[in-house]
Amino acid sequence: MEWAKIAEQASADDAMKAWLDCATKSLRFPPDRKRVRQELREHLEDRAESMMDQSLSKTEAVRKSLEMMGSPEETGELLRQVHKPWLGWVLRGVRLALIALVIVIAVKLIGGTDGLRFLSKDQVLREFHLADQTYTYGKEKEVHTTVAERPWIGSDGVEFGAFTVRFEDVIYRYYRRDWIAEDGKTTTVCDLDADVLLRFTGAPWDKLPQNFFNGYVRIVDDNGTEYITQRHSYDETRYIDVAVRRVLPWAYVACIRFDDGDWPEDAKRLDIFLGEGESEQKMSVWLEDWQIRNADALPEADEAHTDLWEEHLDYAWYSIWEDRKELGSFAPTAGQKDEAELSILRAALDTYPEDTENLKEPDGDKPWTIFCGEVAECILTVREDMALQPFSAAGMKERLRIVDPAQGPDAPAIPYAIQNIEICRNVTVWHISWQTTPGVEAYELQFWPTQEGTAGTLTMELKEEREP
Amino acid sequence: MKIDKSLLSGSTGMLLLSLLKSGDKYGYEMITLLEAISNEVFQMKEGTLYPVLHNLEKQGFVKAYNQENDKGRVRRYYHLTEKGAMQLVEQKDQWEVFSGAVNTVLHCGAMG
Repeated sequence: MEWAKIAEQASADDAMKAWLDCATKSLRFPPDRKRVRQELREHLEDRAESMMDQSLSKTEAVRKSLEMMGSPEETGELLRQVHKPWLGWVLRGVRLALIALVIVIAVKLIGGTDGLRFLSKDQVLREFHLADQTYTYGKEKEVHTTVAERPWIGSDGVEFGAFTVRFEDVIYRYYRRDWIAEDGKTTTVCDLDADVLLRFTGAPWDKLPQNFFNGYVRIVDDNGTEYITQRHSYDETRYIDVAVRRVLPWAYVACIRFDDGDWPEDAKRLDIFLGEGESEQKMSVWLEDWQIRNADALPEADEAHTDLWEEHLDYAWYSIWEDRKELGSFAPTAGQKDEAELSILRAALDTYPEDTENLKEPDGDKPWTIFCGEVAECILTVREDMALQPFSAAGMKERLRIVDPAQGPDAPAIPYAIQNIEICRNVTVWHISWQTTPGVEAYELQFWPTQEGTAGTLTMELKEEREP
Repeated sequence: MKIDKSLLSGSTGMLLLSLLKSGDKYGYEMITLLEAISNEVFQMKEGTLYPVLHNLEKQGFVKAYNQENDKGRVRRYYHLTEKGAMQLVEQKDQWEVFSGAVNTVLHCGAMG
């Protein structure tokens, strides 16, 4: 009967509020309490309104309504018995669990579906600095423009552990790089990118360990050349490097990059092997021919550029010929044929220990031959029109011939190994090596830029006596 | 006359279900209708209506939803479910049996 006292002392609104508070306080589950309170309040308002229609004042109407509602404690107790709070919490828990289950299913579906992408291809390329755009580094900038590229076709994705793996993109491009320094000075170089990007999709709780790719990725091209992530011995020459980024909670992109100079030059197909042993999976990509995208982007030659790749050559020279012992050298020479300019930057006669596999000549189905003992090596640069240059060792092989000029016009071709070590604009730089024969004092390099007509020639003559 | 509460509590649910047979209603509507129909015999404390209604909802005999009434105000309406309709039929049968028995006993007693 405390109510009667409250009803007399408090204002009508306060009394109603107090009644409602008392009647609903036993409801522990907040959504229930809120809903029931609302329902009771509406009832009181309706009742009060009907009384005001019968000429009672608002205060009197409210008080009478409260009286007619009865004891809030009694109502509260009856309500408490009906609305057991634990059930409310259980139902809420069940509902949350169902929502979580729906999210899990949705995520799994997204992960397994190729079409659903929340990240554009360009955004992914930007992550790895492979998109054609301007990259900013503080006050300096670098502009990338693709000059030519090799389009590709990929095989279907594979299941790998908890992940579905698909091709994100294959970048095989020759691009122009303009570096703009803080003072506005621009340096232009051209580079080759050869990258295979794979997308791994799974659930947010499936993790791809960062070191997963060390030793777990292997590429073999259709020439039989193998590219691996780890250097098992000093004489493995073809390397790939892998960078992994988590681009979305359920997706990683792995960028498999071919090392400078270790590009799959003549390859038409790359087989990518993931994992080892029984769990190894294979995906294949077919590379189309080079297509020129922005011929105008090809810059003019200039000296600053020459300095840049001269520097690179020093490094390449040293790293390729670590074990050499120089016995003599050939004088550098230059020549021109049609639209091509050739020059030999360096040449040397070296010995290699017999067990080295540094210099190899892949020869179709035959096992690789090894040059050892006395070996001639040179750095040949070829500068020519873009359209003629296939960036390909096989292409060079069809246009370059090495002979001993002392043997006359029918001199047999000497087998050689050729590897591209640099591409700068329309200049390609090649490392060529071949087995020498004691007594030969000069070699002639014959080059057909268009594979027709007569060859341009360069002669290498031994300058110094060989040491015994 | 004032009806004993114990008689009321068991059968209140039945009364509310039968009110809903003729259409969905909200709490206040049901109270006023009940008073009118019963000639004010049923004058329960209005606060106790809602626990009964909520209990009926919990048992699945009615379903609640929000809707605007004819005054344009949103109220919590109750709808008789199929389960509730079957329960009503059963309870009516039980009531008739019960009240018939009570009557019989009373009359027999009176006669005896």
